[in-house]
Amino acid sequence: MLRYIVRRLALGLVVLWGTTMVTFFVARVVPSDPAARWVGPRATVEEIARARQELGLDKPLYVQYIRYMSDLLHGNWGTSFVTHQPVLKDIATYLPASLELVISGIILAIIIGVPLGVISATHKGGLIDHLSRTFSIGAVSLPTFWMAMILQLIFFGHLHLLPVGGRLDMSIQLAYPVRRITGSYVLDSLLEGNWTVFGNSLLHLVLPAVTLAAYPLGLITRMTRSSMLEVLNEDYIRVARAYGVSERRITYWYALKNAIGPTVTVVALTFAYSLAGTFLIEAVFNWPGLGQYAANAVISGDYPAIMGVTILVAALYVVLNLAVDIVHALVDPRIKTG
Amino acid sequence: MSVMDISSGQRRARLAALRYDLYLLRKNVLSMAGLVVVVLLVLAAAVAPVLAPYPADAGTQVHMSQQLLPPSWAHLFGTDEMGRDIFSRVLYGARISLGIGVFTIGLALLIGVPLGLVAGYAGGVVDEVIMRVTDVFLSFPPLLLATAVSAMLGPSLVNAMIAIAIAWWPWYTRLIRGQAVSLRERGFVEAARATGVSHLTIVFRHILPNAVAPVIVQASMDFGSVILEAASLSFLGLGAQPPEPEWGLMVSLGRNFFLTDWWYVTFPGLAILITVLGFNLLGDGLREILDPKTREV
Repeated sequence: MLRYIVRRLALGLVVLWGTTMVTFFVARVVPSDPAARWVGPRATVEEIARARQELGLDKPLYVQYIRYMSDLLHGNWGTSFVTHQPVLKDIATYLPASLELVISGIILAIIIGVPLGVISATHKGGLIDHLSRTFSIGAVSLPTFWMAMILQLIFFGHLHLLPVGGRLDMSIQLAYPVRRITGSYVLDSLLEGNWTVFGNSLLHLVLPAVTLAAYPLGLITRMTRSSMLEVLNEDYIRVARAYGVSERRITYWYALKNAIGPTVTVVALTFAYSLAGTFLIEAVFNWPGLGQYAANAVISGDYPAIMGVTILVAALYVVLNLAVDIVHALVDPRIKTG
Repeated sequence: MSVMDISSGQRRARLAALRYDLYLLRKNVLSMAGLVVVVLLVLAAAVAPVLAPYPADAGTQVHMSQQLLPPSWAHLFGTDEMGRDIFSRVLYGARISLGIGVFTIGLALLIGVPLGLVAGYAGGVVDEVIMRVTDVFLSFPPLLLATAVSAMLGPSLVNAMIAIAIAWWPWYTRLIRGQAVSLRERGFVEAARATGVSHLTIVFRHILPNAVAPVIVQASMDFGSVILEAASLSFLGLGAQPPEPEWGLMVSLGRNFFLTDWWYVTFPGLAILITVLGFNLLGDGLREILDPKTREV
């Protein structure tokens, strides 16, 4: 077991190192002239030459890569062209808002997706199954940016029930300042007992979280359905049934416990995936998170920021993947670890 | 029995299997719905110039007197801020979306398939290196990598498609490598090697035709996802540029008007949803039919 974990960790490190190669290549080699981008459109030839020297772009590629790696490892991820702050500091500022959004979206997706997948499997071929399958395929086919606008149109434009965007109303933000503890307005206001901010931030969270939930919801429903179908055909389920165990207990206790593994994997991977996908949602809802930071960086060609976010999310993806594999190996004796 | 007989017998068996597949597909209501959507989309793309009431509106046409008109018989989906007919633009958009699917997946296949074949056939260090590179690319969420590459290449539809293909090829490499590994040991490959056929010929003339079927199926299933990603990039301003009637771009341009003029973003967005849904439903049905575990009447 230990050998398996060590081997997976080593492999994870190799992949992680590979991602830095890719981001290096994309940031330094693909753009026609990074130095010209660095100094901006109105720079003189001398300024560009100086920038090229400062950035080390006149050095051979391998020297540039070594410098890039050493900067990365020392926490020097470059300075954003737009905010003029170190990229890592920017990330720390914007990340909590995104985490708040992604975590609430995924929780929503689990709460709805798992029962829906189970019901779909126990009623295979029936109306509920057809509806839930169409629903789950529909959820992964939705252009999130469009769904976000349609929700705004309905719930803000027509029903006047929910705010159109942002994390808090401006007046509330000014009248009730929240001390930053976790960076999530919902959690921080709850911890402080600040109910006005809590209610308002929760209202602001509804539409973005629902939009974000769509994609993971589709995946979770499908995955739960298919692994439940497999488990429900097993002999021990038939035995439990023969013993007269209630159908509800069989489904939610014996079957679901054994079917939940693949769903856990999907949840872990969609977490990182959603963090990457939030920029479409955050842009529409004016949600000041990592995604909006990345989207602005993309629009303004701010490549240190783009690469910072890319490395962070890719690293998270690798680490989550690794964690899932190791947890599976620990809990599931059928996985060969030799 | 001559060689001809065997091959015609095999062909007949293959045709029978194919007919059975089609029968299973017809029985699956959702997949049939998907197939209908895809066929309609192809038709719409093919006859867009005939069907579109205002073909010139796909371009830079401006009708100042007809700005942001709500849907009516004259303009089924209303008009945009330049007075262009949104229905005509959505129809022309079908051409762009199909083009995106074909070009992007074609490019991803062009990169992914040879790499997978070489990895699977050569084995050893070559295999190890290619597959670890593949792992690295797979460790990026596809939309993230596509966005980063496309941001670096500069905003244009062609660059967006290249960027998506760069994020997409590893899936095909992985798939075809698995096929190549098992084919490598088969009799006909060994026979070819024994008669002194070059490695290149073996890989492309003998292994490729036998390994390509699952990749083609997977590629056709990926159409929906690729179209959705391209629309997302266009929405961010990285893909299609005005005045192209690309659906994602239309939704993006409509953002300034959507609370007052709902039709502007609604119809192009619906076009994306229905198209992607069509491909996904069809793909889902194909997957069920081809997977022996779920294949049943």
